[in-house]
Amino acid sequence: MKLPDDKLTYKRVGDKAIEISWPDNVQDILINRHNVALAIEEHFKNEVLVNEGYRTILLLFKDEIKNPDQQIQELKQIITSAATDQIFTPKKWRIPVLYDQDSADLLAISKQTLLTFETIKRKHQEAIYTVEFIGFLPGFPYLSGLPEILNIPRRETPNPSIQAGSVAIAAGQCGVYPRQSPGGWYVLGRSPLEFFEVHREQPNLLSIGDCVCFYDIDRQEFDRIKSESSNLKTFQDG
Amino acid sequence: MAKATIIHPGFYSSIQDLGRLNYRNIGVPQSGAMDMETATMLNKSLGNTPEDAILEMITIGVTLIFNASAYLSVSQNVDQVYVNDFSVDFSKIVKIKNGDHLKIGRVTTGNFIYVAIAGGWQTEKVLGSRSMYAGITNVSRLSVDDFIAYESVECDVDLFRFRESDTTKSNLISVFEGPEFHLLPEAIKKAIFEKELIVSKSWNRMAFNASTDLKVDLQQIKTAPVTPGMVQFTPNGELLFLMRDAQTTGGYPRILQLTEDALVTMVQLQPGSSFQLKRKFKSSK
Repeated sequence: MKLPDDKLTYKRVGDKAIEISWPDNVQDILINRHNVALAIEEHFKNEVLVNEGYRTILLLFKDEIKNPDQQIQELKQIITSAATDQIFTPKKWRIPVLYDQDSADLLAISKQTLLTFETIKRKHQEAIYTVEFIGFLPGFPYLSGLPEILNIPRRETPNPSIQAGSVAIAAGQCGVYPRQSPGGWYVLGRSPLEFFEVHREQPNLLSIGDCVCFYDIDRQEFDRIKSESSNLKTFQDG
Repeated sequence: MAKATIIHPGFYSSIQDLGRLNYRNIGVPQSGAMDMETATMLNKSLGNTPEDAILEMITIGVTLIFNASAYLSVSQNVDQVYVNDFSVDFSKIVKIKNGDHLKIGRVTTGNFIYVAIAGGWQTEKVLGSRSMYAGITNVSRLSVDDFIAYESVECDVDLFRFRESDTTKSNLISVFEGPEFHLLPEAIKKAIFEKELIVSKSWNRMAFNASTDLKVDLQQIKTAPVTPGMVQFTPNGELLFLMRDAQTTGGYPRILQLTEDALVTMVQLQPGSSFQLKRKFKSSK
């Protein structure tokens, strides 16, 4: 899908940044947005840093933008000639999760959704998720695709300590905490995989556009994967 | 490689440089010296490059012992600098010999104190930067018995002398409109520039806060990128001035954007001090 470029908004942010945003009423913008981000990156190389959010791309220029109008025109040009077909090849992941059997968070989800613990886990596993972007913590994936029935608001008071590997949901999204952190989402369970390891060739496990589904493992399997530092490719499909 | 060992870590001390810009897209905060201007100037005073790492301290200085000679440049906002218990003149480059104790005193103006070393501090470099950050570098903040590596290099001590004017301060913070400024009601757009704001007591390398009585129920935005210098507005009227260690995305409306100069001014405003926002208009649309 391609948008006419006049649907996009271009805003200057300070002296050195421009933000491009997609209107709220257009659905499924991920492919278009990430194509545009890659095209801009390709065009400017090291002159600009490209950061993505749900409906925005923030472009941080290394130097002050001398002529903003001209810069925006140049961006429009790039976007107009950007590929319409998906130009990136997302990976497909099967992520093991040791779901909690009983927890305050499951109880809170159950109260709000009126679903049993078993149904919550089943609904969570039935869906296929897409990595929209990485943010909040190093390697934290924002995943879209959570079934509407599991759409609950964020916690009113953040949990002061969510464990590393926690798979959590809130505000219609799913995410994984790569390390221990305070957080405002409800935890379903834990994955034994390292979602961010700074000394790995690619520190982040998941990248923008990747497809993710989750499957149930028991404690024994969790400990085995955790201790073996398995080849990450075994958790990829195809 | 030579090393300086921490005898007393101060209140919160870390090694910082220009930060790691290139990994924001995988959620890694930029980090870097809070007061980039002072850090750059101190590096320059020693003939270092702007990329060289410096030691940053918050309000209370460190005590270090050196195992080889070194040349140091200390920010001028401390009360005293002692070498082997003798107060020394730190308006010029401080020379350290093998076995010397260095004690940096307390902050006089601002929050952040810096010590640059000729050749730069040589701690672990991760993702292109030595800036310490939990989960990225092994050490996220210096504690007793940690050591900081450096190369013992020569330096022209007559190169530099600090002037009084190097530490002029202002309480005017220049801001551009942020991406969500337009969501604010007209009355608040005006009021925000008229209020006297106070730096809150809860602050850190991630954000400085200032409360206002401007409560407005703005819609939450779809999580979007944020950078140091952006100002978020929370539903209970809190202004969050994002700093070097801020996370890379956020969901509160981003109503303002500090200029780089304003960010440097802001980081040295002590908790409880007042400031005012000054609107800066973009040259053209």
